[in-house]
Amino acid sequence: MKNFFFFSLKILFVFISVSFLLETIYTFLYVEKTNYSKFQFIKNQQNKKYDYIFYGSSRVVNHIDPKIIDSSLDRTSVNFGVMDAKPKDILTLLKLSKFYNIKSDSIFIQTDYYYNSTGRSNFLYLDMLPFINENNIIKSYYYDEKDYLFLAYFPFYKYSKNGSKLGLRDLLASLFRKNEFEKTNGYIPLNGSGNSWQRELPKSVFYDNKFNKETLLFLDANSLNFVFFIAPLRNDTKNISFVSKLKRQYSTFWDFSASISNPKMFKNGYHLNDVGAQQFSLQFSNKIKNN
Amino acid sequence: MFFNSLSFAIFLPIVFLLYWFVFNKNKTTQNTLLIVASYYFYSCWDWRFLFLLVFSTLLDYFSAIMMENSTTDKKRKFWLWLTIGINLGFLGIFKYYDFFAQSFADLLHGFGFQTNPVLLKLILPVGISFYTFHGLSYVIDIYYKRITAERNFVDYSLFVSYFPLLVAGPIERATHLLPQVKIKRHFNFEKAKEGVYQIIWGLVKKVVIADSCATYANAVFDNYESMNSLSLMLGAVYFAFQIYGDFSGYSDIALGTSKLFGIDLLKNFNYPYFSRDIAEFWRRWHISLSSWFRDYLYIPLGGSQGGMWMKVRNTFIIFLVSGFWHGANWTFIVWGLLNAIYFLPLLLQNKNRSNMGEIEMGWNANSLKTILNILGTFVLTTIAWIFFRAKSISEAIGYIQKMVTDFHFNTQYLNNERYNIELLLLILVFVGVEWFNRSKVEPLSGKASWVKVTLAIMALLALGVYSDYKEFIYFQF
Repeated sequence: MKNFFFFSLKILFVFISVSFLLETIYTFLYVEKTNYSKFQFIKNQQNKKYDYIFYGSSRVVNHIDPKIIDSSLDRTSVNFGVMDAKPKDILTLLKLSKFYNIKSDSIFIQTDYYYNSTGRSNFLYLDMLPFINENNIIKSYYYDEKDYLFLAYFPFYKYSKNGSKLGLRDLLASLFRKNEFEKTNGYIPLNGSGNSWQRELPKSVFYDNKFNKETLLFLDANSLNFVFFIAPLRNDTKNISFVSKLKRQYSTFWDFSASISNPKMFKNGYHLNDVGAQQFSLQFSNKIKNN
Repeated sequence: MFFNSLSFAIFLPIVFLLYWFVFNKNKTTQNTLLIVASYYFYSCWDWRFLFLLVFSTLLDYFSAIMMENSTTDKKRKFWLWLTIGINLGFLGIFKYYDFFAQSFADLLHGFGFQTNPVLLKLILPVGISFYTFHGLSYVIDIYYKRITAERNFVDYSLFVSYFPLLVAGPIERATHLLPQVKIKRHFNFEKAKEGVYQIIWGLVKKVVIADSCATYANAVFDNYESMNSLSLMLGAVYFAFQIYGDFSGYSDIALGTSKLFGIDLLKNFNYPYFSRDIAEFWRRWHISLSSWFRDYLYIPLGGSQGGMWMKVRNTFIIFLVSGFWHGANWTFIVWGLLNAIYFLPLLLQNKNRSNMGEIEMGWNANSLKTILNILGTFVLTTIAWIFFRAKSISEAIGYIQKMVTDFHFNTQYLNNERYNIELLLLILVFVGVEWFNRSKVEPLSGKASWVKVTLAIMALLALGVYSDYKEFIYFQF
């Protein structure tokens, strides 16, 4: 039995050593040698200053073309939208922008049906995971996860658990991927139209979303010049009265929900295509100009 | 509680420590602990089905004693058929009732009668096919006086409910397991070490091979209409390795776990994809079930004692029943039928026992022939697996039709966000590892075992699929 005890300890030692080794290699490569994600694009803007920064979900990523805004206003802007972002993600990105010393004159925060959500974006969750121990803002983003302690402290757990997105194959592919957001300042165009996917807005507003409250407190505390806005919706969107309810939650709210009426400018019920995004970016520039 | 779950990783060391340090006084304390652990293990799925397990244990235990005590053949037969009837009755109700009711309604519908069959929609108790067959082999052996009835209820209960084999086999025999249960086990370091190696290798097969293959096989099978010939061929190959890795991985973990308690279980797999013909495949695949059918169905039916017609009839019966044992779906029956058809030429030419020895390889024409035979057998098996995996016969036929008529062999991007050919390298490495270790139970023991164990753990961590958790396929049977 003594032999078996030592044998089991050796197996355990090998398991822990391999976990540490893989954790070190993966984290080093993801943090130091890759540059492909939206989060990394945002991080790369450290110590930079922009006139305008846009935050939001895919309805910012695919809708706001900073180059159009820059050329029409002769200013500098950047798109910090993250796919599937929710209030928690936006709050985290606002805090990280401050942490990374990314400055701006004004920030524009898109708000939407996700106003009610207390969840998080799976994209940002995965993008930031290798950086979980970099700072407390990122770490706190994962506090709500059931397996937070494992994610933060158990070696290699985060890569094993998310093997299909952060596994060996993805790591190797990431080493050769270029950050597509660099060329477009964060904007990703969508092509095509006519997708019948229709969006249904919530019927009511969830007033007690702690992330929305904290976002407003953060904006005030940091004396940021901010505007909330809603991006265009296709005219077949259901429960459109939600927009007016949303409007009441903010002191400054720009309503673009009905600003694009041509359905051909929509990729689907919720996203503009590239033509629509250019049109919307121009509309947004004009709105800034007129304010 | 699955073998590849965190809860099992906690459960197993606790039972191991209690077994060897607290309950090691005698075989009764050892067996009692294992029964309690087994019932807890089983109740983690659904505690309500524990009653079924206990009932089945009591039924077989008392029937066997009654059978042995019977003075006339008539009484012996009565107890035998009563036990068989009740055991198969439960299996029939839980597993096959809905299938028969629906099939009968479909048949009537074909003749123009509209019926609404009463379907029970019962949850299938996990492992019912395994422990039912387990118990049946025991009472049949008593009937034929191959063994004597077990009078010690604790020992018998452990024989039926021993947790490493409870939910997916191997299907044990009383002649093999009961004698081990009836003596106190003493710790054997070499056996326990073998067990650990087998558990690690089983986990590699399940988590690295089977679960990786599953994501590709599912992506192909679920969208077969939009797949090209290459993707469909690869999808079938991926499923062949999925089911092999899944079930043989499970068996390895079961056998390895049992060795930790000083008990050897029957070998269930012997590198089946290196078989040179279908007959050899069935001697190497799910060995405990194949031999069960041979001993308790094929031989009682007359086996190969009668003429050629009887041999053919019995072979078809065995394969059809084997297919049906896997599940209440026509796809499994066709899978069994297809294997019987593959088997037929060997049977007619009396060549079904021509590949009994080890595979010898060298630089000669015979070796080339052997390799071609292995590849041919693998192709046939893989085609049959398409029926096993498909949701319906029409889907399987559509799959095969598209595979042989599409004639496009370019790489395709699948909905698991991977290219169809990406997994081939991993499979080739796996086949290579198995090929060069085919004379051993698992490849980790022997020379440089620590290097191999380290690589296996590395593969488990870096290549294992944990994000898209999959339970063992054979749990559903």
